[in-house]
Amino acid sequence: MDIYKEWKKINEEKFSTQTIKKEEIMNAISKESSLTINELKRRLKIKIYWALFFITLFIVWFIFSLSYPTVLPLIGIVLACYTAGAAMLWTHYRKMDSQLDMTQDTLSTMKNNSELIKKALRYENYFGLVTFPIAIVCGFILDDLYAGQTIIEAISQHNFAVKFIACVVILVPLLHILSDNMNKSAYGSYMKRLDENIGKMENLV
Amino acid sequence: MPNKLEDQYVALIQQHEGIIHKVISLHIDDKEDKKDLFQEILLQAWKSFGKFEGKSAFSTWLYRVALNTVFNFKKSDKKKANVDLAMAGEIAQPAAKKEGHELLYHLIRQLDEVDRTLMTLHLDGHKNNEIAEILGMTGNHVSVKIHRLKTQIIEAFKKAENGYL
Repeated sequence: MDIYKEWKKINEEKFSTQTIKKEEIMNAISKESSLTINELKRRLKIKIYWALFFITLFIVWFIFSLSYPTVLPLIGIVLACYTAGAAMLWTHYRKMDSQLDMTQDTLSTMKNNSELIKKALRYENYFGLVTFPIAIVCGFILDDLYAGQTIIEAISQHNFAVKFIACVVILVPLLHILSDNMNKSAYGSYMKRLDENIGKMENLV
Repeated sequence: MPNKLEDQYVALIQQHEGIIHKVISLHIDDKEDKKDLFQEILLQAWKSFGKFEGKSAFSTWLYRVALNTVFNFKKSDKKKANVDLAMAGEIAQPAAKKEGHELLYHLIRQLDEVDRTLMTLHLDGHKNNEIAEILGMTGNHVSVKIHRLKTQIIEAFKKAENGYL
């Protein structure tokens, strides 16, 4: 049997169609990409917008709290955390745009894609893990700070430790596990296939 | 000027559309995925078209973009997959009853994604060093692997002809 002759027959029979119209091509190139990396980029963009919204809110809050000097350090810390988080997300968002090149060799593209996706999921997670406890702690001590206590005094109270343990120490790891499971169910099999193909190609190298 | 680039792109795609169909048919079963992937390849190729310098043939360049898009595409959940009926029929038919080219197609589709890609690039006439360059592997390993795959397929072909597959 001549497999080359048979393959030629397959090509003629199955893949020699020339039916695509210009409109279909133009329509396809004007759409948004449905690749996972673009899906994650959209998610990061939404998180960046949220962070920017809160940063603006904190700045306004800071200005209106100038007459409460005990509150200002807390707003300053929150503002710094959100700004650092937004900057981290923005840096990765920009990288995602420039680093995935579909004209590279397949192994490099897959490795790059896998790394960018893993990092995007990790950064999303870090952002949540840092900003969520901060928001909770703020909620707990804000009244005390407006009443004239310092941050140290407010967090030294007995009921703060109880509330902190109940909400942050229990809730944050739970949320972390939940988001991890959600990511696994959404991208687990895809990442597994990607990593398997990378492994297979690397073993051939 | 942009219109000129678009026209050039459209003409080249119309000429080499078969490559996209080939890559998709060989790697994807789900009907909706096929449709999405076709559009995604057109989009990815267009996004990179400005960088196409003509160092290699457009067909080779498109093959590379199509493969990269397929390998990085998230397929539908298998449970929800809406398998292409025409393809399901081809797969369900006993191997021994298939014609030579249908049997070869069936055997190639049975290979895993990487082996399938190596084999089809080889059958399409790409030299081993070209295949190595497209996939990011070394030429020597590619030739050893292709030799093994060819032997494996020819043996399976013989078995099928004798009714053992």
